Amino acid sequence: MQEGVVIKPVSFKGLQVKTRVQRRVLVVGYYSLLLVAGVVGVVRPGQRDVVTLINFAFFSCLLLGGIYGRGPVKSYTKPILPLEASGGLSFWEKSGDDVQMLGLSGRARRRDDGGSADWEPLDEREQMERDHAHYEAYRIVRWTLGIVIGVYWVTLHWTNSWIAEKLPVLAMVVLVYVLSLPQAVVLWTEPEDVDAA
Amino acid sequence: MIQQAKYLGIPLKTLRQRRAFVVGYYVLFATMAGTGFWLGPKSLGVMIQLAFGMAILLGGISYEAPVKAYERLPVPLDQDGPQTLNLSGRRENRLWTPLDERERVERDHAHYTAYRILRWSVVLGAVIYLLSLNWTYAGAKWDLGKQLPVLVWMLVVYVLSLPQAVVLWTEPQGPAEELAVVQAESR
Repeated sequence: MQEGVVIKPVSFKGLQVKTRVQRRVLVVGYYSLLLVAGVVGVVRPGQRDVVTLINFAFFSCLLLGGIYGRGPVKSYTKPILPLEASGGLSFWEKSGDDVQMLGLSGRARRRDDGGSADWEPLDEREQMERDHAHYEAYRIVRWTLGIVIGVYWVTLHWTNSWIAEKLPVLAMVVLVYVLSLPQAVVLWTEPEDVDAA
Repeated sequence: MIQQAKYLGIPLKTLRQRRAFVVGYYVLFATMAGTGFWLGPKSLGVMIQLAFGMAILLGGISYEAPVKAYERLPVPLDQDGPQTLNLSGRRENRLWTPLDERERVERDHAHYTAYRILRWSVVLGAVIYLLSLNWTYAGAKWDLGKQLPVLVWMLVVYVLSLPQAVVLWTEPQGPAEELAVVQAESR
């Protein structure tokens, strides 16, 4: 892949994410899954299965990466190290010889890259990409929220008790939607790799 | 990113003043939410109107507020060209100026920070909600569904205002501001 892209692996859970089409298919599939899960949760009579909802929310939120090290989108933040080593060297090069590290960076490595050696912290350009993806995601959230609230106010007379009854499911859908959106924007807008094309 | 030194009579020149403005904004927000919970459905109409006012108060998504508008205004014809027919006069009289490259980077980073805060807030809210389900389910004494309009109002204002609050909170002091603060402290 081209140097410095935010997308980390070329394959994720058996799905190829090398080309733009493949990444967009992943995003569409992800939100289709969320939609289906939301509809099932709302339609199922007498649902109050909180444990299932929590499991679903956790699993879905982490699936695309970004806020988690093992998804297709690189982790947004640098791992928190106990002591800051001297500048200029990369995160991996700091361990070992540096007396300041006290050998404590092992845990951060295991936590953030899932044990794989190919993980690298975001460089400056990737950080700008990440920030812009969050700006775009926020714009989408803003518009979505506006539309949803508009529909809610219009239908308030007929749906108030119904929505109140389905509140746990709707809260989980909002949670997953908000948490996953920046990663979806990254996957959707990442430019096509010259080698892959 | 801050385009006004004073807004609604409140000075916004120094970092401290801007942060005080943000704190005041969220104190007002909390007070209004508390009042909404207390009044219940009676406050619905007022809250709808206030949501719009509160959401655009800090700027960013509106013009002529402290934080610059995030996007360029769609101008029908280019201002400098001969084909403008002098239609850009209204725009010239505004306080608004488009974001330059540095400001766009600031804007993007503010949105990243805002999104991080939003992410944690949403997770925290969801956890509290799930833990409270035993007492707040539909038909219970503290039925949360009855307070749904107020919760929705809180969500709208909070989500819409957060990036602007981050900009106001993190905007660094300019050299002139720092000098003014040092001079004031030395007296």
